[in-house]
Amino acid sequence: MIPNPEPWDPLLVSTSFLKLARTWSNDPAGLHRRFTEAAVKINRTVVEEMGRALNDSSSPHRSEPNQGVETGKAWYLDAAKRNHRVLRESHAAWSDWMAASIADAPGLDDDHRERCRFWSAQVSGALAPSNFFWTNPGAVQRCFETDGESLQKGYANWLRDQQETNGLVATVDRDRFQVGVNLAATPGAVVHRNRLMELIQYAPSTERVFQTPIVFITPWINKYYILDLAPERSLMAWLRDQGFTVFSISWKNPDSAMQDVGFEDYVLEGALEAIETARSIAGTESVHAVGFCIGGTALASLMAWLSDPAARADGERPASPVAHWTLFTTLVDFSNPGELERFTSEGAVQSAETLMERDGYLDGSVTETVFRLLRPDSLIWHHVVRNYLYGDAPSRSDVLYWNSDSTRLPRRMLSFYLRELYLNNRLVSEQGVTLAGRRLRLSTIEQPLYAVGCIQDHIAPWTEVFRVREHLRVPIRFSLSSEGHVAGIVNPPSAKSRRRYWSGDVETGTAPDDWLATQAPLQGSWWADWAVWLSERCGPKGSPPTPGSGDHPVLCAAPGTYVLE
Amino acid sequence: MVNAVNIDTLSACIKELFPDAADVIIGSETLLDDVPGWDSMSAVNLQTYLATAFGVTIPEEMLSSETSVGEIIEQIRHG
Repeated sequence: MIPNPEPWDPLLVSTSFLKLARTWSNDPAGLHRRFTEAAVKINRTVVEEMGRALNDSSSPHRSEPNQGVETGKAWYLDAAKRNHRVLRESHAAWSDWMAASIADAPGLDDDHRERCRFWSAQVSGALAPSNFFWTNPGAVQRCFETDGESLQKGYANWLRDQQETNGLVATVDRDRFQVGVNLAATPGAVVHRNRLMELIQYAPSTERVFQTPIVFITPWINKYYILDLAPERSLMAWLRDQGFTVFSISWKNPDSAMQDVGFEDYVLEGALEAIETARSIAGTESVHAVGFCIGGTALASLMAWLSDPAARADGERPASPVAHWTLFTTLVDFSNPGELERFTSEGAVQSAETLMERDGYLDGSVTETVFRLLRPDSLIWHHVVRNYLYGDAPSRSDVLYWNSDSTRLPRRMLSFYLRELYLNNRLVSEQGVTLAGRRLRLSTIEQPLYAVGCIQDHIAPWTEVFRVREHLRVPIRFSLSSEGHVAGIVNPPSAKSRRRYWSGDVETGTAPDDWLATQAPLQGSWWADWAVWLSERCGPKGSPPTPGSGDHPVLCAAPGTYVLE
Repeated sequence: MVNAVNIDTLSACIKELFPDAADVIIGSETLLDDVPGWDSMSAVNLQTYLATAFGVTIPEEMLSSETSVGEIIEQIRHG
């Protein structure tokens, strides 16, 4: 954490670039040499292109543009291609110069260096020549082929986004999806509801089911149904078809009245209450609990809370309603939390807290923007080009629909999450976290764990997810997917899958790269490995529990009401 | 139309979708991870693009970093 934040620079952008400039003041000759090299490259690019144009006898530029429509089109298209080539190469030279100047800045500390790298990449991405019509030859060609209709559609897309998404470029055609119909459509019932969550119990699809139910503590950043997208990609449905009884939390989208809901409420009123309800309905002593991302951090906190020996007067460890558990792309140790660290400085947290003072929550558009900035090419500029310059309709991707179905985050919870976890890493620190009167120590947890990380995960880097091994004293099996934060988890087994995974037990004291070096890569999805692990632990099979119970009657059909808010 | 898809067609598609790949020689053996600009969210965008261009929906799990351009062509042609 960087001390002494500047209130006018919450994300430390200017601060970092000023530091960058100051470090280069120690080597002005080196800086000048790099700049000159880049300028020479750019100049060479321009001169070479001019030479090509002058020497190309077939170039439309041999003739004047006003020689008929087709000649005019060819002239402009040729100009667009040449300009694009020059600007693309110049842009690459400039971007490379920036990147190298940052990477090689003498004496710049890693934190400021990474901030410079991140924000210069944002500027570089935004200024890519292909983002602008006349320097995107494909867009120019499309315009000519459609007699301008592509630009007309592009303008309509832009106008719609100004009206409907506050200017954020749409990534998906929202009219193509309906939650409960072609998303979050796995049949089930809401069997419990409190101010924070609805608990969904999915209907069985097999005659016999494993005795121990599975309870999903889903993330509450965005809606719960990332694990219940289109039916063929639904982890809930797949687990149900393997003979498991599946419950899932669907979180309330909080409003101003919930500004004082804290992280401990998500842990106890959310996760614990869901687990106790599932236990009651299934008639079992314990469940298998699964936490995903922030839901996983909440689950890990709950597991430590349940394991606190001080909770019982006799000092004995209380019986846990969770027999074994799973974490998907979960951080418990926030030492190196990945790209989100660019947004979690002291100043940034203070700014977020100021933003939340008025409404009592952080609006979903803020979190959506932040996550898009972590993957700007795929989640911003690709859609700007396709939707506005080419006039394409937004995609029909269920993942992108979910990605834009953002949620509000209550003030007190988010302040705790950012300060105590991202800034202070309290869950694993000596000082620790006290939650609802109990000191959380991950080392007191006794239940075996299955943990999943993803190689391309930029939100929860897999080597940091793997750190859970350092803090637990339980048997751990780890699966690593070749994909990113979402695709690595939403990863249905398929004969056509080109994805890979590695699965294996992790001995205490093993470093992530050492573990990976001893694992053989396997084709496809880790879901099958996990199902085997679960089946070995979830008891014998019997008749499925009925939907709900006397104490927890069915309230409505899945996906419930909260998901629609 | 899908049977006519070949390396030149798909190379043009990839270069349109990933402008930074303009100077990259794309062949059947080129992996998606070799395409400049490819990241963990690119598969979704590529799937949408190919569905619009060829009317073929390629499963997202087929569009991984280690998928080759040749494999994509085969999938478009034969499903």
